[in-house]
Amino acid sequence: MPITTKHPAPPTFMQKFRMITEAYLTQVAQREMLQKYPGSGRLPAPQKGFIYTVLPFIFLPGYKLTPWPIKKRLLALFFVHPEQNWPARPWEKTKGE
Amino acid sequence: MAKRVVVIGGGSAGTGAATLAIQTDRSLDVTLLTEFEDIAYSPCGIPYVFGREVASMNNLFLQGKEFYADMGLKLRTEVVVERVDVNQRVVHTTTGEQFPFDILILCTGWEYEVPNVPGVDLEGVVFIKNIRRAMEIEKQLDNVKKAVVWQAKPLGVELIEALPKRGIETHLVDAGGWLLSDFADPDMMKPLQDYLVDHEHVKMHFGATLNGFRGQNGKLTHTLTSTGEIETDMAFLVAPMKPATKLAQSIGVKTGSTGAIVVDNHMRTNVPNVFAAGACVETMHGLLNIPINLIQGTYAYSEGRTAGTNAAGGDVSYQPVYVPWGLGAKVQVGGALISETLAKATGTPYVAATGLGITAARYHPSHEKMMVKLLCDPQTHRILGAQFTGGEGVKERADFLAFAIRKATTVEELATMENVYSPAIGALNEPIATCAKNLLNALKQQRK
Repeated sequence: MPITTKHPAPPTFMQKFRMITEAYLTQVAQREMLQKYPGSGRLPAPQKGFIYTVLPFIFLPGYKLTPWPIKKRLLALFFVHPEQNWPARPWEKTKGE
Repeated sequence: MAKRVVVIGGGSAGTGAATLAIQTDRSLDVTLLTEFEDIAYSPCGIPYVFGREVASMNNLFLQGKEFYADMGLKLRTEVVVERVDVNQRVVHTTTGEQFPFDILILCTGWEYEVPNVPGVDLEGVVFIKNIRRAMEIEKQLDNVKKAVVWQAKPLGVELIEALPKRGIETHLVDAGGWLLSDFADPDMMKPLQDYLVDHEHVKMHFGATLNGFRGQNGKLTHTLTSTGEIETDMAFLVAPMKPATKLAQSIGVKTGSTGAIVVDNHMRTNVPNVFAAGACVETMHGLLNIPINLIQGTYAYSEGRTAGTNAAGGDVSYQPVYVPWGLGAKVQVGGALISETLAKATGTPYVAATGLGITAARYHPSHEKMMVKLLCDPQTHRILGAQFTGGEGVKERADFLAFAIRKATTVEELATMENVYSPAIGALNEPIATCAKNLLNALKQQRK
């Protein structure tokens, strides 16, 4: 089959991991938001698939307990390629001076 | 011989890249290849034509093809690229044509991920992207009595604002709990949601998954959801938008965790002499410091211009983004990311506060309410995000806050900001400053 500009490439393991965990964490956050602001929306539909039944036990507790500075480093480690060292933000420049 | 630049893709990124390349170096031989019939139009305007706020699809074209030809650009429409030979530096099309290049710019955009549900190929199930297809849909809308819009993403919200203006009974089906629930907060979306229900009579089906479509004689009659069936003449699918990267990957261009192409701040890929820009690339988020994939034309155009300038020998650096956003007409919503929902999802520490203000002097008839929400870092007090709901001025405030975040502005600085006071256009107290003062109080409370 010819390659055309029309189709997305199939996701890699890391891309799938990010897609699934991001969707899951967003839904957890949405539920927390509805608890904080009752009456402002409806509960989202439960996510389907085996992975969403295990994530609350094997992924969420660790993610929640990891302190933000470590979490930020882990996110960068997993998701940022060396080419993506874009210009430093103002607060990063200040820190380095 | 003139240096040859080939741009693949005729959307905002491709058009921006090709025109900037030629403007930067007039001696370049620039060719733009697109599989569609047209270039240089604003697909974002399509819902507004559906809603008859904009008279015609023709108004969405920015320039005619002659404009680009006069500029010296070689424009080839309805050309599908089959493969690229990076060693020989030649682009091959499905019709056997060859386009040699010295520099290649990939602006292949995005594609809808068609939901895997029964009935999705029925007549009446439509996607909004190509303007020619949108013109056909526009003609059919006069016969549509009931429409379903699937997913409350920005395009979906624009559609549910537009379709009732044609007298169409409009249903929104979304698995989330409120409008734009992927990134916006429910308390800030509620006024727009209430307006659409109360004034435009949109029927919201939140927490409902799309199960499929049913039809008769190949034509759509019903949308099937987890909460019931909806009689439907036309269903608009605002499906997930995925970066189109198959061609890029076939020549060894690296893709990142979002599935989009990895580029540096000059829009260079890992393959020498190959640039990429627009909805097919990853862009760095300034606060979270992770790459994100942005579909909006504003990023596509500016990234395309960056790629085109650099491909032509210039030196322009693209900046990390803070994603100002906004939409709506009568009730406007907007902000700069991150939101409280995203702060919770990512685990970013934050303190939030809201403030209510007005957009003009209280005695002036033009004044409208403006609700502001600000988020800041509890340690440094740097602003992390903002959201607005109200009347006129949401867009300008969102742009201002995105820039303020980029410049590491603190709550204290916002609380003492200056503002225009002029009865018809600005109140004595700027709602942003009011909210910042509330946020300072929230920070004090937190310290106690």
